[in-house]
Amino acid sequence: MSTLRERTTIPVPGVDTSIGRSREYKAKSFGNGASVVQKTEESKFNAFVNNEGLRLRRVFTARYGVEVGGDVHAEAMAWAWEHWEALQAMANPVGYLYRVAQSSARPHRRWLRRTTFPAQMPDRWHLDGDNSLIDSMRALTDTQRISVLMVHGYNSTYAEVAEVLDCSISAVTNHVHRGLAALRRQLNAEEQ
Amino acid sequence: MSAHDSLETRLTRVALDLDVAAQSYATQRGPQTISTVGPTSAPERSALISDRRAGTGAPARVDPQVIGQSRNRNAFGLRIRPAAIGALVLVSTASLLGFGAVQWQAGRGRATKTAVTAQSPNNPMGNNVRDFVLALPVNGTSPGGLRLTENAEQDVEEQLTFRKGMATSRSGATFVVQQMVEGDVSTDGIVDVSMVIERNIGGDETIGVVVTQTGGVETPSPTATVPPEGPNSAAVAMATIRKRIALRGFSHESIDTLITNDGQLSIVRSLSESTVSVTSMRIDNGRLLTSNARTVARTKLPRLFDGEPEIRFLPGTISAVAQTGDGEHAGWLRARGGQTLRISNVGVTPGSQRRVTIRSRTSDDAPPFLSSVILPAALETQLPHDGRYEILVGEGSGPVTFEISIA
Repeated sequence: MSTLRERTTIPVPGVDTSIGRSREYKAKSFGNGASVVQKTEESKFNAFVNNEGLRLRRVFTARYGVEVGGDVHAEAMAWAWEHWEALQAMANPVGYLYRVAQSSARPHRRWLRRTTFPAQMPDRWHLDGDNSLIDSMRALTDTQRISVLMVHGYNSTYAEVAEVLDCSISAVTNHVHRGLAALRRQLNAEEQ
Repeated sequence: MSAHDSLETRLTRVALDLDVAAQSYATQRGPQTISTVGPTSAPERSALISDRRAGTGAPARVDPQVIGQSRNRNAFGLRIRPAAIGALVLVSTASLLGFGAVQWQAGRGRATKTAVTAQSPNNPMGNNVRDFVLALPVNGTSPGGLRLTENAEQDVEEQLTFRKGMATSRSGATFVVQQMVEGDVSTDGIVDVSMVIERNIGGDETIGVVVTQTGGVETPSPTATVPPEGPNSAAVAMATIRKRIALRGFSHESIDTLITNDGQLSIVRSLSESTVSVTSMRIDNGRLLTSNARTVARTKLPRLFDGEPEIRFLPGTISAVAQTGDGEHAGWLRARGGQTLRISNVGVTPGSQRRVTIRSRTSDDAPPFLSSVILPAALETQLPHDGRYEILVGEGSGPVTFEISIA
């Protein structure tokens, strides 16, 4: 029987997981200073999850919907924990995790089971009925939907969105502009 | 929400709604847990392999070649192909009533299985149980009727959905497929299997598992397992026995071997003489955390498990007897020399007698080393050498069910 058990609970942005969040770290013994290093790494990782992780979750939700977005976000955070050292050395860790999530989301796209926005069962999440806007957003391209929602829904900067999507700021500007134009066009058409 | 609000305002409200929904989903989903023991999910396997490469982690217990699974093939090694989408089936369960759409088929002819994704419009459990996959043979002649399946890769994806459904199971609900209709397919099948999982959290990692078949087949009531010893074992058993997890996809006769090991529950089923399907689940305090299924070579099976696994033939497995020349062939097991084999009667009617013969299957010429043991007396014997052993049950009518364990 195995006696080695190392578990890590990945914090969820916006969710209090402090209960039972006693994290045990990998049994790398570096002497008495190891715990200090580990504490520092823990705080760094938690800060990353609570800041960039939250932004990523919103992006994933915008792209894949609530459920698949939540799942791929969890996968991405798990990947971040596993490769934390390598991730810290990256020039654009958020953009890399976005790419990780794209791979994680691939199975959800198989077998004609496309991911949907905002969710497969919208009523489940108590979206309060702006169905016309949601339908219009669903018709946007992924990058347009992400850009519009992040910039005008969450007040993210163009640079922050560009970092996640790993594209230029001007590209994000175009996505936002074209996305808003498409939304207005569709909404106006519905009203008429 | 007014349509006259500016588009930016409406976007902000939608964003807030999405945030709330995402937080709600994350709360329901629970924190992501990864472990370096018992690799059952991609992050775990990845962690384990990377640890092994770095020379820092626990030794890998899974051959990376075993991990790989053909993307377009299910656990039967059959190619999965999209099926006619939209063929409706009626799914009637104890708590669900809904329609589903055929999603894919695997295999050909009698081996064909069709997965059905069903949604329940009037699910009294709320939205936790959203859909599930049923597999039914197209020709409808599978013994035991319709079956559920879990072990194709597509199903593994569906089981990720099941994990949300498992939240309902945590409340103690089990779901019984009573009837399923699809065209000409016979409906007098079954099938669902509930597992009652006891776990001694405070003591050793021994897990007692009871498999109960519910549905149209009369089977004995849940078999009591020996509670694990250790501090608070009784309290834990009482607390966890109420937690039932409906493991869809395990028809009673399809389970060959059940292995429990350090919180990981694995169900091994024979696919052929050389391959088995291993479905591994990590269960923590009655909650299914992860699950996956893979097809492995039978020879690689021991590598999947750390230490000495407990191997237990389930009563339903042994009951699937086939007539042979000198008796009823009850099954076989692979064991190591020196291990203690224990056979105890579970399904035998008190007072009835059965003769049991155990002989080596590795060598055809080897004489039976144990014979003429009359059940229901429990027997224990040490197996002389490594290899496969055959168990024969003779001189009786009807199937006999008993339990075999190896210590």
